[in-house]
Amino acid sequence: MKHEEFEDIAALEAIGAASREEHEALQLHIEECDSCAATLEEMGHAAALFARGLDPVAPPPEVKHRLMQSIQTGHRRTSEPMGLAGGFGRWALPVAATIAICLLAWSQMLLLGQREKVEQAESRAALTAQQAKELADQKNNLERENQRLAGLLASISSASTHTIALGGQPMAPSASAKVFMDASAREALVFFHNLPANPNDKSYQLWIIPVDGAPQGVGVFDVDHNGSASMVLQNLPLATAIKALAVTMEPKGGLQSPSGEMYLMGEQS
Amino acid sequence: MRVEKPESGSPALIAAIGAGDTDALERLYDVNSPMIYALLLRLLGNPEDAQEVLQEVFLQAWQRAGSFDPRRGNEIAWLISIARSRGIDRLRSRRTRSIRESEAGREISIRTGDVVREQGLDDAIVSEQQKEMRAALAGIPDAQRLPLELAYFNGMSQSEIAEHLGEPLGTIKTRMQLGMKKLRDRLSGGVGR
Repeated sequence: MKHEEFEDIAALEAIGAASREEHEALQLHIEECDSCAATLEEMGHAAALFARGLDPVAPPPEVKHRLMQSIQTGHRRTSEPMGLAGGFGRWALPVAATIAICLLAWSQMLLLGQREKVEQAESRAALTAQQAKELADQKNNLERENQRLAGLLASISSASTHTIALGGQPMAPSASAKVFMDASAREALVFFHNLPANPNDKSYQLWIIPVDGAPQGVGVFDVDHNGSASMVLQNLPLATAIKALAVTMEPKGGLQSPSGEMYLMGEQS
Repeated sequence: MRVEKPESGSPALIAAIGAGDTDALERLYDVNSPMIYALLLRLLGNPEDAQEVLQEVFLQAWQRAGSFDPRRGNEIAWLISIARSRGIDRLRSRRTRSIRESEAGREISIRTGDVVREQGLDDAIVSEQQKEMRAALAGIPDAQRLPLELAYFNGMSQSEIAEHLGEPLGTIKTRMQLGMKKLRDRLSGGVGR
């Protein structure tokens, strides 16, 4: 692989998007190539612009309080230098100092020689540990997802679940959606079909329209190439009776109140 | 005797932290926590998680300051790197696709700056340097910046971004590489140093 190719990989690595194979190849390469290591560092600075361009937000004071408390109590480090034992006579100090200097110089030489190897080993160990952690996290997520879906299926099949059909509006006459709502659990499972693809800077937003009061957004979604999507909704705002459900197209991520064209609408029977 | 405190944002500050100076850590926190917290809010979309990870970030800085090498980057890039890594770890461990979809509405209210107003920060805090950085980001075409933001803030892989944007993987890869090189070139021209 050429330097130019590693430069391309460094660009992806810095933004956190390099594949595992690319990451490993780059790590091996920069151990021996100062030029590409410097390129990766430059790309890292460039990636940091995304964070540095954000509006700063003051965290609540209690976070700092907890941090400092945590450091004072549980994470104090032993940084104070060890004192010399008091049993030495005055004559022993120069000898001890000379021995200490020699030992220090010797240990520094050893340390310098070993440092690079240790850093390489740590880098590989960290990578392996990270991979193991990611796999364990994925397994836990799948187990939780499995439990959640089992709960949802039980919820959908319960006697308290009812369905609401949403029909296509003039913007998308063939579109439809079906909502399986368990009001007692404040949960719903929603399936959307035949919606037009939403642009990259827009999202569909699902609204609950109460009998009295303003519409409340309960989730945003994008559709796939077939115009389909599904959503799981939890902690629904069901304090008042529902009059209808509707879907509009809004700026990416949704809004506090509907502003765009309506694509789907269904009234509570 | 008057003791000079290290400048905030200087390698000396990190060295002082490495030597166990808790005052130095407080200074590092006071100067940088608003930026790091903003990043974590953007990554996680949830103040509780962001505050928890923020504490972890500075705890890690405290524990690892001794191994900080200023030749390999400044302390702000170092803190951002720790924060993003921990934030993405938290993001991946907690969320599934469906939960992400259902939470997106809540995330956006935080991302659009409501939190800034709620916390009472003045708009004037947006510094000249920050404006320069935003200008550097704004100089990247949307087609290149969007996939970079999805990778940086959402932890998406190349293939996930390609699927999300409905573009071929090779196209996305090329756009991301071009965008990063442009950003780097802007940096070498003086922005953000």
